[in-house]
Amino acid sequence: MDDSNVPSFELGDALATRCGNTLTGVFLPGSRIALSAYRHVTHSSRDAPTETAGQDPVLVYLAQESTLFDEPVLRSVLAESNATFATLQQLGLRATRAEYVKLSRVYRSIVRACLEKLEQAKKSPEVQTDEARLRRFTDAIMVFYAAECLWHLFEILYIQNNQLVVPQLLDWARFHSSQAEDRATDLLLMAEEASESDNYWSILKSLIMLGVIDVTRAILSQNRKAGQPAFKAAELILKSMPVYQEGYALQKFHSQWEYWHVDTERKIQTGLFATEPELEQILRLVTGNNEQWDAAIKESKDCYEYLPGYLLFTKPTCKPFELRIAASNWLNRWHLLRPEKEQTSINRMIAQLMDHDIRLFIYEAQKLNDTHWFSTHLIDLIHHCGQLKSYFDQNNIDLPALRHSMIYEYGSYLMTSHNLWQLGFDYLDCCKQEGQAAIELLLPRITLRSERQATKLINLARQRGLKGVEQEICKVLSKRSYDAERYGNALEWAIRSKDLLLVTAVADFILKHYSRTGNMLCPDTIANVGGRMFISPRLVFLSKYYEFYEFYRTRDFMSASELLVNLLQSRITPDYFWPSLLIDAMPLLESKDQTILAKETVAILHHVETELVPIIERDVSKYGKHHTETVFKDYRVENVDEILNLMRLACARNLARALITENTMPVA
Amino acid sequence: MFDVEPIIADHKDVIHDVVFDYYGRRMATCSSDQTVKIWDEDGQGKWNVTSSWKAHSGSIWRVSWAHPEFGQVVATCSFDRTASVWEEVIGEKVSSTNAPTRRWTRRTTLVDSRTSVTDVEFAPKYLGLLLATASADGIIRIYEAPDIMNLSQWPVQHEIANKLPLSCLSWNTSTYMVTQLLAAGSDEAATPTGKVFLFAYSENARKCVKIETVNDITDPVTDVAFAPNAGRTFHMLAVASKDLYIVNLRGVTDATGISKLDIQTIKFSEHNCPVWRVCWNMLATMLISTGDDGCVRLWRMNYNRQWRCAAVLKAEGSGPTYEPAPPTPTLATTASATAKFYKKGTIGNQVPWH
Repeated sequence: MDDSNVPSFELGDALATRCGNTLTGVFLPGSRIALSAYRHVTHSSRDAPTETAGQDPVLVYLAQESTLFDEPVLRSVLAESNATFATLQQLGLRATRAEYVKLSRVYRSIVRACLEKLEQAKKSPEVQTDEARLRRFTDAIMVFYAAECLWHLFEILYIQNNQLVVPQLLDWARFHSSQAEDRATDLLLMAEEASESDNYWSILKSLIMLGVIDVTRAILSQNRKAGQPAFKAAELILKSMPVYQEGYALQKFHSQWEYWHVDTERKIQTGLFATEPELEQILRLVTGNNEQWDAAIKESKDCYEYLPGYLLFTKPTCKPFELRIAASNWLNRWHLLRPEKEQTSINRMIAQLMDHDIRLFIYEAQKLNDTHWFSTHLIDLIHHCGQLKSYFDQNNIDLPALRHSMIYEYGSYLMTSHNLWQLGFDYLDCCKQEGQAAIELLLPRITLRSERQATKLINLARQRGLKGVEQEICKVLSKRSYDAERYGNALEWAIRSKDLLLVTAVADFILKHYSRTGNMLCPDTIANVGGRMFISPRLVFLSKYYEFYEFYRTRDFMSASELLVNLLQSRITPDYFWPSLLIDAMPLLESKDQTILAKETVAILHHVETELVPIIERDVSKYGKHHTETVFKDYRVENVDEILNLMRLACARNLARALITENTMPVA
Repeated sequence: MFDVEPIIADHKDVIHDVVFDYYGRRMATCSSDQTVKIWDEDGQGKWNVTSSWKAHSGSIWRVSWAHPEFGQVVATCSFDRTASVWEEVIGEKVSSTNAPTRRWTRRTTLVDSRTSVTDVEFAPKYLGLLLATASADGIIRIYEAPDIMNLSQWPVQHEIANKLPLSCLSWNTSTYMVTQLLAAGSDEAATPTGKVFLFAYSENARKCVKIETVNDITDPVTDVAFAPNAGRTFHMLAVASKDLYIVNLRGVTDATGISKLDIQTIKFSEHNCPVWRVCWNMLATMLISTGDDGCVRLWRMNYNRQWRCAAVLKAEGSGPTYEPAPPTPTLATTASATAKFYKKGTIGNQVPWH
């Protein structure tokens, strides 16, 4: 498409207009664009307030292509068509035509059901009073009405692909001008009274032009004058009109129809209906009389409404390829008679379908205000049923690529839309590795409103084997909990993320907090870490230390000291925690009942000398001898130096005691 | 047809950058008025400013959000020769009933540059918490926060000097073929040499080095942007220069077994004037370019993988001009002033995809 076809939109921003008309835009997740006035600067620009400073309000415009799908009623269309789409993918490329027609009808019935719901909802007081919603409903009805109408016609011409099209076209026309049938029902209910009704004849005419013969006959038979010869003759003509049925020999039907046609014209000419001019007009319509039809066209509202009826009375065996000529003749005639009428886009699209101009039809279909719902699903169906393959080949359109691209766009639109993201998967799933990559990019960007939603997203990611996405969501939640000072949660999500750095960072924070304040954060979470502790050595240390802390708290000093010695030996103690760990040993060393053996006491002393002393020395060299700020803090001591002497003393005392008890123990 | 919601930014001077967070629910704006503002979208889709502070003592050129797994962190860069990192923290609880207030605190000021810092961008998360800055004296600096729980330390990891002043940079988020790939552009106008440079981590040199110059683009470059990679086997870089360019980078291995980048440059002259800014959408199926012709152009890749201009948004025009009725606009007036871009037609006013 050349530049003149590019739609352009105007914003009208005062500031942008003032500073050289420049506007800039950035994309946001969710197919939105943020626009703002732009002023260019270069690396050498002088930095001073611009001359426009303070003159115009500075604005950011958030632009979003309008969508109808904010209405819950319409969202159900998306959900239901998603299911149908999935069924169609399972059906594949080799199903019978009947199956594709069935699915095409399912799509249409979704739209019809939705139209009904829309009409009902539109009448409700809450919509009636809300102007914006009312307009949205009106728009939606217009759009989906058009979608159904076009889909129906498409189905008749290109999916069913019957030999003869007139019967189906009549159905199509009847559905889309239901008004006439409603009024006919009224007439039927009025029985004999109907004859006096003002628009009696005009309704009958429109029924005939829609090709609804049975109902017309029923209404005529209720007429007060139904017993008169003119009416009886008319009834006979209409009753005897040959109707083509599937399987009929075409030649035989033709001669029957010709005979009936000539016979009817002859009857009219003999003046059989001269007493009933209105009835005569109806019969003239039935014979395809040009004058009568011209008059009728002048009255009609819509261009294509009566085309099928006209074909029924003039060319009942019209084949799809003949429709093209019939339709363009009809269109020319209509325009000649109604030059004031402007061609609406829906009529243009109907013309394109009848004219077999699918390429233009698809282009126009994308302009429907339905976020490409119609075009995407229809192209997918076209691709599957394969009828138009040669058409696309001849016109040099790569149908699989077009379908792929449409589905990809539609799926990513759904996935980036608030509330609709769950519907996007099925579409992106049929876009091969590109679709998978898109899911991988879009899934983690869905706003995490609650942990429940996060769990849902994680499950989805896991089902698809997207480990990175799962990890990313856990890490975001961990950091979020950490920032909100919910440390138990932060640890839990960090563990679920299995990220070594993050788990270590959170465990470090908890340990440092403990050594500074003596407060163990989130004991419940730590108690439940269990086997998952092996993600990070720091977490192992935290869990084990917590175990010790619990033994100590419950006064199980034997187990406590055993665990403490193990911890000291384990070589996973972080540097900053040595003072705290050794101070913890002190009461155990000094306790009345001896809990630490001689050998272990030596080990403790060894650690004091090999771990704590170097740390203190390093600290001193870094911050100076009398600096109160040390890297290693414990809530129980002012200065780390103090504990050195206390520790040495405690160890010595316990060692002495232990040596005595151990060596004087009775031999068992 | 577009629905447009105007937001009164309340900046005292022109905005230089509007950037959204990872989820598109928070917005950061920066301006020549030396302030940064943070905006949050509420449940009804309305944007409210939640923080606003004077961040620098010069115009603020660019803002960048860190990935949310590093918390709520933004970086800013300014004419005042510094870049800063800011983190949102919970403030003092005012009362037990109210939610705790949140405020942004400065974590660090990066003062290494001797000239205006023209661009700043956080690296993709697979590299950790990394930040790159470009400055007018042509130096790219890459900083790293080694401790993600403590953002006050940002040692310089790499420093790459270039001969030309730099105006912009962009990280490649994809790890396909090359890791730590970074592009920078120069808006220097005097020399007729290539103005887009590519940098990557070199295993041999153990540091970031310049690996390529895009020689096809010799006009001043004002913006570069790597496209997000959704399953592509090549990288796309959009360049705003005298025209709009899309540079495709493919990794190839030549006969001697040395792998290098094959550079293919496509030029789009629709703007007919200099292009200032470029921005990709999330899946790189659309591109926005800002031109000096007063037009924002939306580009879309069609099903044949060709880039086509799909829509034009104009600054000027009689459209739904937004004029605040009272002399000092308040937030309440914006809420009701939702305007629409209209396009003629009844049911057919969507931008066609193909």
